[in-house]
Amino acid sequence: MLNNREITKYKRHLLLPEIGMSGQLKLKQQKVLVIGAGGLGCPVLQYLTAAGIGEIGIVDFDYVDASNLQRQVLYTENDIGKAKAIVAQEKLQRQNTSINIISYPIKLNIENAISSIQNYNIIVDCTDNYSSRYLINDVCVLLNKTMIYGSIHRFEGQVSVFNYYWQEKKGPTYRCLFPTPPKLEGFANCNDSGVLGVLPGIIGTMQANEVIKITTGVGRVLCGRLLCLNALTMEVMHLEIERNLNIANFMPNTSEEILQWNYSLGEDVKSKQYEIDHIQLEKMMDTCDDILFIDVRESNEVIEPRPFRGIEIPFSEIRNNIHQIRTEKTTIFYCKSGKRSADAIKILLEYANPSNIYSLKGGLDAWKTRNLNQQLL
Amino acid sequence: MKTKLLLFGVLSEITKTSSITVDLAMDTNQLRKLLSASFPDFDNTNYVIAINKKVTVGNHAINDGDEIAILPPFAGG
Repeated sequence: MLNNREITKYKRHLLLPEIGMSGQLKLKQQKVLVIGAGGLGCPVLQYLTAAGIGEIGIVDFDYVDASNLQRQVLYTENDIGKAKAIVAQEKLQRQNTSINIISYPIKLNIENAISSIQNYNIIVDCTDNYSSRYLINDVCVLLNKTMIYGSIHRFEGQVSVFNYYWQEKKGPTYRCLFPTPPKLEGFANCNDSGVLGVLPGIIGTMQANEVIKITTGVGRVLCGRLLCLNALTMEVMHLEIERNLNIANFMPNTSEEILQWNYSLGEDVKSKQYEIDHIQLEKMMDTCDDILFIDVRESNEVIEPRPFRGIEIPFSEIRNNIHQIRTEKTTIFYCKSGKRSADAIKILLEYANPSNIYSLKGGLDAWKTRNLNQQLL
Repeated sequence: MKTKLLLFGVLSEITKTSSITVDLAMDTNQLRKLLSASFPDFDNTNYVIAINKKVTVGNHAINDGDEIAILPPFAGG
């Protein structure tokens, strides 16, 4: 039930038949975790607080810096040097005393992500880096939480709702859009490149809007669609995203795997599962006589006779010939050093979910050294 | 035949324009190769290709008149 003070406070919601008393009570019962209390986090937090979300958690390890004030509108000059999560919690609690606001002045990592996220129903991703974003995505998938995604770059923003169940169907995730992080942090976050101050205000408000829609059940949730906004032209484009089941190959699928996952950029732990070294390969060749070897070197590199009988698909042609590979057969990819064969497997995993494909670790270089050592012994 | 590409984020900064026109590629793999040759810096990001406002997964045929958008992830928040 709402008390008289709350009824007055939320009157403009109560007057909307689409929300009304039942919608406002749903907002009161909702638990939302906002990860990142920066440019996106500030408007998300302010509007969710005003809307009367019953419990709001704030995760942020950072301190207020003078250069934040241009867009992080919760903070003032007096807050410089203070912990964002704490300052935000104090101000928001003053803004609405009817709700419960909890601050977590911590950096989200593989150890604390599951315990932080599991007590909330909706997770709002307001982070400014890929490592956190992929971690949030993977934990949301594991724990079946809805992830409200927003991100910005200079004058442009992206918004979508990921991992949302609707009409008994699971919507796409962040990894269905971008399966793996870029090798580099790219061309930086807004601490390093500029960003238009009002842009996170616009994008963050859109994220808050999705939280309210999902909670009250009104409107059409931005699920399966990516909204792209250009603040300079005010052009908005919606792109359809489909669920890609093969992404399970690119991500940790259990809490144990999350604890061992390396979220730093440029490393792909899972592809290592598909590596075998020359000792394992020799054992395999002893027990299995039907192995398909695929040489992924370019033809001009092949000078000596190949040590394995099989087929050749130069790495540059892998994508065009991917459907020729019969994935039910034990298949070993090899190249000179093991790099391209590992990359070939990554490409194959985008298209299929094979269980018995391997990359020869260290490539032919390692294989030849191994044979040489044996001859010397 | 030519194809018009809409570019977002860092990709439009690399090309210094929000749309470019390239030779019509047969499919998205060929388009990636073409972009990689013209703009090697594109390889630093993991962009996705949307055809007629649908994000593609794997290789997709491109037809004359298709609207193509090329989208990198954004880091900022």
